[in-house]
Amino acid sequence: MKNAGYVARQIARRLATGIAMLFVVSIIVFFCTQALPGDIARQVLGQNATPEQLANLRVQLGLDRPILVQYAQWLWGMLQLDPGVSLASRTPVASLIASRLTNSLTIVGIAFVFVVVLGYGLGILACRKPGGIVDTVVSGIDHFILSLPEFVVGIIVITLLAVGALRLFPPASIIDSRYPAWQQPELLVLPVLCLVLVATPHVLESIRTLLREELESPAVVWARLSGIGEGRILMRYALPNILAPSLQVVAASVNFLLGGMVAVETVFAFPGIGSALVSAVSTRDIVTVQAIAMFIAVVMVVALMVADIIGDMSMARVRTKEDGQ
Amino acid sequence: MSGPRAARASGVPAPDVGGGVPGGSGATSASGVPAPDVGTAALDDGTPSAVSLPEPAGNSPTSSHSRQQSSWLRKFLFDPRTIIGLVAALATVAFAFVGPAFASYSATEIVALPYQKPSAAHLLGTDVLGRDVLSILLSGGRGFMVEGFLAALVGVGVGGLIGMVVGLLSGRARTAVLFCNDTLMVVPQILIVLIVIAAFSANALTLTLAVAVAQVPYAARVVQAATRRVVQEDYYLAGRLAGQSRLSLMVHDILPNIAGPLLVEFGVRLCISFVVLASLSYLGFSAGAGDWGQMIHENQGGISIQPWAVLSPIICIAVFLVGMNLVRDRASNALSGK
Repeated sequence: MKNAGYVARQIARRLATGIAMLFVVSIIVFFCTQALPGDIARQVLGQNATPEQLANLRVQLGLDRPILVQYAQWLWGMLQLDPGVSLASRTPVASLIASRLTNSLTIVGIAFVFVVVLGYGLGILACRKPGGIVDTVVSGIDHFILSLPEFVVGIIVITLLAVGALRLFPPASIIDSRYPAWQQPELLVLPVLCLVLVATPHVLESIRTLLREELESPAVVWARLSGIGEGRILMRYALPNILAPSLQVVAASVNFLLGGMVAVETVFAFPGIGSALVSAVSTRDIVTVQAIAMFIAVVMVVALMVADIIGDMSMARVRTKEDGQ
Repeated sequence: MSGPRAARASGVPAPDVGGGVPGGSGATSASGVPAPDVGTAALDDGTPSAVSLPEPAGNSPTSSHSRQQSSWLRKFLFDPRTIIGLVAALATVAFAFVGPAFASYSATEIVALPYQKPSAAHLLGTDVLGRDVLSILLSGGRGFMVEGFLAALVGVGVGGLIGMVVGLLSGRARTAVLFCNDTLMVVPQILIVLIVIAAFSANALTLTLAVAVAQVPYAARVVQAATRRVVQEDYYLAGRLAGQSRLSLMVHDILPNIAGPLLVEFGVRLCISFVVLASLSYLGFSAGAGDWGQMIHENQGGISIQPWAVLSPIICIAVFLVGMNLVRDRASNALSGK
């Protein structure tokens, strides 16, 4: 019972940390885009706008109010899932990005599953025989991919699988917006493949390092000398011990997936929030930029919180066992 | 709370892992959940300790210093991977800087029909507008190399300074600064850069500064941890007790002792700055016309007709970055005494 209290307290602490983080992010996003640069109204209306038009738009956008009031209103809008009206198309941002959001979450979600499975699987395989073939090949490919920008990986994938000798999949993923993205799987294969290729090496390398250190620890050496088999050592000792830190690695992989999403969606002309972000930045539609940035930050912070909470629970379980003995 | 740092720390001894391998968008270290105290301790264990210069009590510090330096240099230079990396990176740099002198056409001049296949007149064919691909290729690397170098320099400089100051702070102030720092590391790097560009529009200066800003939290994190280690040493305390100011100690004691981690971090940030700038240029945000990323974007539609207009800049970027990363990886391995 003492333990349940401990877990509840930890969860409350994680939630508070996450909310504080999002608060810091919201300040950075808002003040970087809205408070620093020149005149948003002029950007929207162009150089030929009359002073009356500019003044009207400023009132309409709330730019005539004090900056802290603007921030409070913006934050309140974000909390109600209403980020405002796009400066470029003058339609609500929420309706503009809603379908793109599902598209992006579809490819990132599918990629995430593959990244976790491949990251742990290949990491364990590489650790079974350090210096063996799997280890060498995997580490070589990892280093190659880790050196390159995501879009280069995307173009290489297109060159190998979409044009040239093998034309297995279309080189552009123009989703028919009348149907959900998962009903057009042949258009999702290459973007997902690219995301998996760019995010897996980070997870894999970290798992490998964690596991290798664990397998060299005195406890494992002792277990090995006592005649416990390698498989049992891996499942019973090594993997449970790296669970909490490796969950952090998995959470961090969401960072690489969301960052990679921006370039990968652009490479394949995939209609998601990554490509929407790029076009919003080039038209300087800051309302849309703010909304997408906050969404990405929320996903990232939630991923970290979940990893932390699961990590805490696994620690708490270890604690109970120790207490019981 | 030990979770994130444990992952980070165990990554550091093999600098190619957690130490922030260029992924364009961030680094493994981005798992920053604020746990300053536990975090620092774990980071301290993990950061290569052999990097710090000789103990102050050494009998003839200068000679042991130079011996140690020459041994890591020898180890670094006699590694075949270093040689391959150096050759690849230097060849691309030479290509980008000396190349424009050998261009037979202007990079902006339309000289033939679009998407012509390679021929004697146009060794790599022509691009989407009918410009000579080889001539654009020769002039398209310099800009992003200069911008990347400056961005890493500014980013690590500012981040290093912040890191040293934060390392000297204690209590609530340090916790608060580190919390904000870690929050910045949670957000994908490309997002921070794009937000800055959305606010200021893209030109050489804003691109360089945007990428520099995105490097600051990472550099500050590493330098902060290295500084904490020095601050806990007896010679630092002795200096403080002898009445030396923090500023003087920062210059004379801290800076020389964190030079190793600072250098390793500069290598990591340099590679990532190049990656981010190349990505930005591909996404349509570059300072000048016709750099490599932009070339790839413009000609991607013709990839099945005239692949060389896309593949030649891809090869340049790949050779340059793989080379840079090999050198960086070997250098940090040699520095950490592996």
